[in-house]
Amino acid sequence: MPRLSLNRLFSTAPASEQAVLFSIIAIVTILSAVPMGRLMLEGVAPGGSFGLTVAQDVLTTRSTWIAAWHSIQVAVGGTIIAVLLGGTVALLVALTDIRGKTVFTFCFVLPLMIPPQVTALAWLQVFGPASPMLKSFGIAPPLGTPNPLHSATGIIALLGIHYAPLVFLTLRAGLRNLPFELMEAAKASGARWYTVLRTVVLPLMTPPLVAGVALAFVSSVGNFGIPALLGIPARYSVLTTLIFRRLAGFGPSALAEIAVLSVLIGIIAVSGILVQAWMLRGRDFRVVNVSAKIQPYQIGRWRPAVETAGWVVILGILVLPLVALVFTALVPAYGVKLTFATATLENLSYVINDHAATKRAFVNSFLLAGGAAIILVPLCVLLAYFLVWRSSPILRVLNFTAELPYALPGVVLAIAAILIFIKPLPFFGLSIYNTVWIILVAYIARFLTLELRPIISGFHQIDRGLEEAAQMSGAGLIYRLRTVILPLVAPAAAAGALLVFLTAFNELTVSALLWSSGAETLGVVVFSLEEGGFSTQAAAVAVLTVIVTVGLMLLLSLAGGRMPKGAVPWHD
Amino acid sequence: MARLSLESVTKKFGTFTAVDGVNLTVEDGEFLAVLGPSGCGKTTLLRLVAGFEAVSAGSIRLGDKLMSDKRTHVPTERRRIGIVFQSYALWPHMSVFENVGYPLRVAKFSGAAYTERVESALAMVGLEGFGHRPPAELSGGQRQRVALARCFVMEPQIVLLDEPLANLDVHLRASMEEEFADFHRRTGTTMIYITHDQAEAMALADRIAVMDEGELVQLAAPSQLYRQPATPMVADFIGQGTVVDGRVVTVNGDGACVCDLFGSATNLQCPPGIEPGAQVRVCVRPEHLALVGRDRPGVPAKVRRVTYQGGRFLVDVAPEGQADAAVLLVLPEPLELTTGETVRLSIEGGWVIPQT
Repeated sequence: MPRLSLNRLFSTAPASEQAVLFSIIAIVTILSAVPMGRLMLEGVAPGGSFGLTVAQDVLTTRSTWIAAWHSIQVAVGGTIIAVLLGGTVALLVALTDIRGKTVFTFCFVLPLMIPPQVTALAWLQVFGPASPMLKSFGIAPPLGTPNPLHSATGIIALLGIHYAPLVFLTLRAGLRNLPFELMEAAKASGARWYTVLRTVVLPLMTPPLVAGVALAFVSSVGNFGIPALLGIPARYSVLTTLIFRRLAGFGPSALAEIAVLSVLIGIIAVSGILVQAWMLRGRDFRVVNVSAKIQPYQIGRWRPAVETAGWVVILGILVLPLVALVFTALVPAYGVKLTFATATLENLSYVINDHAATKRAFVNSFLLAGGAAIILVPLCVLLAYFLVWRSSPILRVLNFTAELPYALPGVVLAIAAILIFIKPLPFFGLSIYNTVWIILVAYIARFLTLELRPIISGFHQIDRGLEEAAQMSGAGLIYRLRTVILPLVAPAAAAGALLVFLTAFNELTVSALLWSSGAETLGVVVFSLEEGGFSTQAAAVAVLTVIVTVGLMLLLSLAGGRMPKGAVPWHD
Repeated sequence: MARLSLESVTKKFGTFTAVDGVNLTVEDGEFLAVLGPSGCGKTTLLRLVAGFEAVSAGSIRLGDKLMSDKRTHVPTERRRIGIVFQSYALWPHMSVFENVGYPLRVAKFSGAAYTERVESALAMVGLEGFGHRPPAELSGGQRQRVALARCFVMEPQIVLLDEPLANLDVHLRASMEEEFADFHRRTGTTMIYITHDQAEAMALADRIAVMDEGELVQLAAPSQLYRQPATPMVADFIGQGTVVDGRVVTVNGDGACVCDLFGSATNLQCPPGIEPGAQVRVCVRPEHLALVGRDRPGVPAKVRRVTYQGGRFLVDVAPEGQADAAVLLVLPEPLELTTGETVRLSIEGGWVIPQT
C-alpha cells in the first residue's frame, strides 16, 4: 500500500487538476463527513457545551428503549420475510428456466420502488372494515373491527414485502457471477439439484446473501413511512417515528434529545453492517474466472406450477394492494362501495387542480428530485473519475464516508441537516432552514452514492487508454471531460440520474423532518392527508406517484440495453 | 523530433520497485525496442516516459527539456509524445476523421488547415476515404493505422508503441511490422517500441533494450544481442540459447578462448577480462551444435525429447553427467532419433557470458 501523502496524490496532476480534486474532496467532505460529525457533536455537547446529561436522560427514558426494541423487532422480522421471499425468488429466477423473467423481475422489484408510505397506504386498503375494495366485494369485516395492519405484525409483513426485492437484487447479482462450471462439476459428480444448491450455490452465495440481509435490516431500521402509517395510530412507536413525533411536538428545543436518538438509530444500523463483516471474516468466497453464463436448470413438468406460484406472489404483493389503492382513489368517500354509479375522478381532479399543497408538492418534488439528480451528475462523474482512474488513499476513505448519508437511516441525515442549518450559515449570513433548499442539500448528500455507483461501474468498463490518448493529444482535464469522458460515461450517468430522480421524487423520511409550509414534498402530502383522515385524497396522490414511478422504471428498462452492465439494477 | 535521455530512472509502487535505476539514451530518429518478459517493468518505463506516472528518482529529458525528476513533472498533455496503445484507444463516439483530428482540435486548428492535415495523415497510413467511418467498423490492422495517423498528425517529438501487435492475428503481424518500419523510414521519428516478442524487436529495432525485474540488463543492436548476450537471462530470452557451465582453459586475446565444456576443449568467443581457470557460463546457440558420428570427437548425450516443428526438429539433449543441462539443437528433416537414444554432440562455438 502506498503511503498516504499529498505529494504522491498530486504528483502527476497539473495545477488545474489539483484544484478540481481539492474542490471535489471539499464538497464530498461537506456533504458526508461534516453532517455525521455535527450530529455526533450534538450528542456529547448539546447546544455547544460539553455535557452528557441529555444523553443520559434520553438513554434512561423508558420510551427510548421501547422504541429501540420495537425498531430491532420489526427490522429483524421484516428482514427474515425479505430474505425468505427475495432469496427464494432470486434462486428461481436465476437458476431455473421459467419463462417471462424480464417482466417478472420488473414486477417483483416494483414494490421496492414504490415509496413505503404508499405501500402502507395501499395495504391499509386491503384490510380494515371501511376498505372500499372489501366493501365492493361485500367481504368487509364488521365496522369497529380494528385494521389488523395497525400492529407490529403488520409493520413486519410490509417491511418484508417492501425489502424482499433488495435481497432479490443482491443475490441475483451474485448468482450472475457464479461460474457455470462449478455447478456443472457438482452435477458431473452425481449431485442432484438440491445437493448442488446446498453444497455449491448457497455456500458461494454467502457474501451477497449476507449483504442482502444487512441491507434489508438497515433499511428496515431506517424506514419511516411504514411504521408511521401503521404504527402511529396503534401507539406502536419505533425510533424513526419517535424522532418524528418529538420534533413535531417540541420543535427545535428538543434537538439535543433528538440528536441522541438519531445517534442511537445510527448505531443500530451500523451494528447490522458490522455483523455482516463479522459473518464473512476470514473466509474465501472468491470464484475464479467467470467464463460461461449460468445455465438454468430445466425444471420440466414443474415449470407451469413454479411460474404460476411466482405470478400468484406478484398478484399478492403488488396487484392486490394497488387495486385496493385504486378502489379507494375512485370512491367519493372512504367506506363507500365502488360501483359504476359511485366511481368518480373527483379525488384525482381535486388533488391535481384544487388542493394547493398537493400542487406545490408535485412541483417541489419534481424540482427537488430533478435538481438533485442533475447537480449530482458533474459531481459524481468527477468523483468517479478520480476514484477509478486516479485511485488515491484519501479518495478511498472519502468514498466510504460518502456512503454514510445513504447507508444510515434518513433521519440521521435529516437531523444533522437541521443542526447545521438551524442558525444562519456563518460568513454568508444565509438561512435555508424552513425553506425548500435544506431538502435539496439533504437530497444531494443522501443520494450521492446512488448516482455514484452506476457511474463507477461505467468507468470500470471504459478502457483507460481512451483518456490517456486524449492526454497524449494535448487535452487538459476539462477538455478531456467534455470531449471524451462525459460522452463515454453518459449512459451510466443517465442511469444514475434517473435512479436518483425516482428515489427522491417519492422520498418521505428526510422531507418529513425537513419540510415546512410551502416546501412540502409528495411523500409529506400523502402522509399528511392520510394522517388527517383524507384517505381517498391520499390514495389519489399515491396512485399518481405510482404512475410516475412505473413510467420512469419503464423508461430505465427501455434504455437499459444502452447502459453499462449493472447500471439499471433490475435489468439484465 | 528529439533525443530522449533517461538517467537513473526509478519507479516504486509502495515497496515494489517496478523500474530500477534505468540509464538510457535514445538518439534522434532511432527505432529502439524495449524487450522483456511480462512484469519486467517495460510498460512502467513507457508510462514514465509518457508522463502517466511520476518518477520516484532520476530524471527524464526530451531534447534539452527536463520532463520528469523528483520535483518536476511535465504532464502528458504538454509533452507532445505520440502513443500507440495496445488497445488502439480509438474513441468509439467519434469518426475516424474526428479521431485523427482530435490533437489538432485541441491545438485549436480549424477550417482548411485542419481538414488538410487530417487528410494527409490518413493518406500517410493508406486510409483515404475511411474518414467518415466509426472505428468499430474497421479491422484490427486498420484501427492500428488510425492510431498511427493520430500520432503522426500531432508531429510528436517521439512515438511510443505499447505492444501494438499483441491484439492482432499472426499473419497480420508481419504486414504491420513492415508498416511500422516503413512509417519510421518515411517520418524519421524517434520511436520506442515496447514488446515481449523478441522476433518483433529483432525485425524492427536499431537497438534493443532488454529489461528484467525492473533493470536494464543489456542495450545493444539486435545482432550483438544475439551473439554476445550480457547475462544468462538475455541468452535464454533471445533466440533459443542454451546456457551451460564451463571452465576457461586458455585465453587467446582478440576475443577468443578455449573452454572445457562437458569435458571437451571447445573454441569460444569471450568478452575482455576473462581469466584462465575461471568457472564461467556459456551461451550455446543451436547453430553451434551438430551431431557427429561415433568415430569423431564429441560429447556423449542422451536424447530427452524430439519436437517436430515443420520441416525441422527441435531436439533436447542432456550431455552425459549433466542430466539437468538442457541443450537444444535444430535438425532438418528427415531425422530418425528416439527418446533415450545416445548421440554424440559436437560444439563448434559459443559465447562466454561476462561475469558480474
